[in-house]
Amino acid sequence: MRRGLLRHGRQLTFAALCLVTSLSARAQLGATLAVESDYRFRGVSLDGPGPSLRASFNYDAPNGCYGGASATRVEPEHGDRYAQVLGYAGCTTPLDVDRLVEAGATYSHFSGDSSYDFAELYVGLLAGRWGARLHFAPDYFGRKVSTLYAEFDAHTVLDENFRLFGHLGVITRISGSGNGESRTRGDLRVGAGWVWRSLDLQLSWVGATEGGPYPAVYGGRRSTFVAGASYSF
Amino acid sequence: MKALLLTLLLGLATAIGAAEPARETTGARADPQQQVLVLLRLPAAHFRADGNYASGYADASGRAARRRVAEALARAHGLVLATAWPMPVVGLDCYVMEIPAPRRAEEVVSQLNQEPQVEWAQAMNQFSTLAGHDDPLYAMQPAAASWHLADLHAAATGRGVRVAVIDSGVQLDHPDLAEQVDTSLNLAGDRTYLGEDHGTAVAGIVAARADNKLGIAGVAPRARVLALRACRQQPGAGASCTTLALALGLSAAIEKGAQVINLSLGGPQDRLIARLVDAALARRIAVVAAVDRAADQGGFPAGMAGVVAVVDEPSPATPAGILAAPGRDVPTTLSGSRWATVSGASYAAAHVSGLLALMIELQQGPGRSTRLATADLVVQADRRVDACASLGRAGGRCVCACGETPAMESVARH
Repeated sequence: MRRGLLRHGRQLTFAALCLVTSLSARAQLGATLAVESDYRFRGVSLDGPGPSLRASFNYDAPNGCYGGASATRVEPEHGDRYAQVLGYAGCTTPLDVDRLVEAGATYSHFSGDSSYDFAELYVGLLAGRWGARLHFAPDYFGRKVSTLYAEFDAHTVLDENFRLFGHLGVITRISGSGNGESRTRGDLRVGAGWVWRSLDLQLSWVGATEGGPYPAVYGGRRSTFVAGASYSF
Repeated sequence: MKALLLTLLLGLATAIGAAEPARETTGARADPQQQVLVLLRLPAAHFRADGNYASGYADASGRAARRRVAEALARAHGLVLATAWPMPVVGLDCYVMEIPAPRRAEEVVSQLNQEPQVEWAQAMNQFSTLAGHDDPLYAMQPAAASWHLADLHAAATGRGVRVAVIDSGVQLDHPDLAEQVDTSLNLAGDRTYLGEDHGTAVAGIVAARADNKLGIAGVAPRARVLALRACRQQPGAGASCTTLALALGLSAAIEKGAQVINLSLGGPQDRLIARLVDAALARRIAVVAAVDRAADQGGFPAGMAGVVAVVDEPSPATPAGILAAPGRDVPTTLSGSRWATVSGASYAAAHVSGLLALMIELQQGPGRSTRLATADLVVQADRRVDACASLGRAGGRCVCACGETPAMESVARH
């Protein structure tokens, strides 16, 4: 089951992407270019020194389904510079007047070293200003460990342009060898964002505990400030 | 390198912030009759590859996608895109477009409604407050019957219940309203929040301070008022508001946790306002609206199912389901730190909003999910609300010495 999911993860995600992005006049397509001072994935830096660039697009279908993809420059080991191409597709449906449930899948492909490729499934409960998701990866970053990642995100809008946001996540290894590392790692991000027209600027503090399944070899600081800017069109 | 990038980003933010022109609020300086509202679907916040923890106003990516659609629509139909207002509570992004003369709104709305990207388009309607007669001496006529406020307040004062007054501006520093307003927002399209007569009068009836040796006692003197200024006072003729301003007021009321929404106003049928009223009702918020006697079934939004429709004086022709409350010669607060008597369905609706705040306090307490209180209102045979019986029913105990109430019935408009 686990190997099957991984083997077919790319095809499944691609098929889901095609399904939800079947053309509709009422659909909405957006694209974003972004730069960040440090690409932190679940609290862990996935790039080396220097800023990280990302291009992404998102498609929203009228029926509540969505899909998209992003390409981000990563450097999981010193000198190994790849593009992480992440495709995702999912659907939301109302639970009640204020909350939605969500389910979807992602597939990450690393150009230059497909041994890092991995798929995830996720389910979520979303409200206007908060969301909780649970992600399951049968082979996290191709390291032969399966993981569960629980995350809680929230934001508050101070005015039409300015917001504060927070993120708390915990990843835990549910099978596979940890090479002596602890089973669980937590990560936290708090910050502020400012939107003006198509420009979104963010400044946040990101921190993570030790241990857990690391996707990269960096032993750098576990906490840092991250600045980012994105332009949507 | 990272420090340099951080410095550059902060510098860019500062520079853009300094250069940003003041944003036109609701495009209200244009003639509303030459404006249309174009509603696009606002997708719910969902997973994003970039981990953007935001939705609504703050979702720059989605906003850009919808703006591109709106700009294309404006170009295709020869319109000028004025402003955009996301309304996440109803899953809509509202674009205001201006129509170059001599084209008419009806024609443009019809064309826009053919576009598949558009949820719907509609005219920018005008609403007005329902202050009753214009006769200068009408306000001097004898006062309406009392609701036994002192007895009601022995049982409940509306402590902490949030009542949204979507109206013209409330004078925030009026001596009888000081510290009664929890939140004030100016949504009317001009730059300054103004205290105006109609909004101040309605807020005073709902929640003027009691036992302060000044003026009047509100029906719910411990309620918290959300003063949402959507209407602008017109010289000598009440106040008027547009679809957009009312919609923003309703969105804000829902997002800020109102438990009662008072709409002492009326106007033409309006799809966007109806959607937002339904969204409020679905969240168990009580919506009270003044009845327009000149309109069928109490007018809009009073005639909507689930809305508590209130008139100031019942008559044999009053449709079933409409109830009556004190609304003639009511002493209340006015702008300029004044007090005076007022008359009209607007003020009858304010009485019922205050009463619902008292009932909510007794039923479930402030800050908790409340169920609709409309079906719990008790009315007499002549359609007048029996405040004591209504509050007694809500609290499950005796109020106002348990006087006999003839021919009681509950109001249910669904």
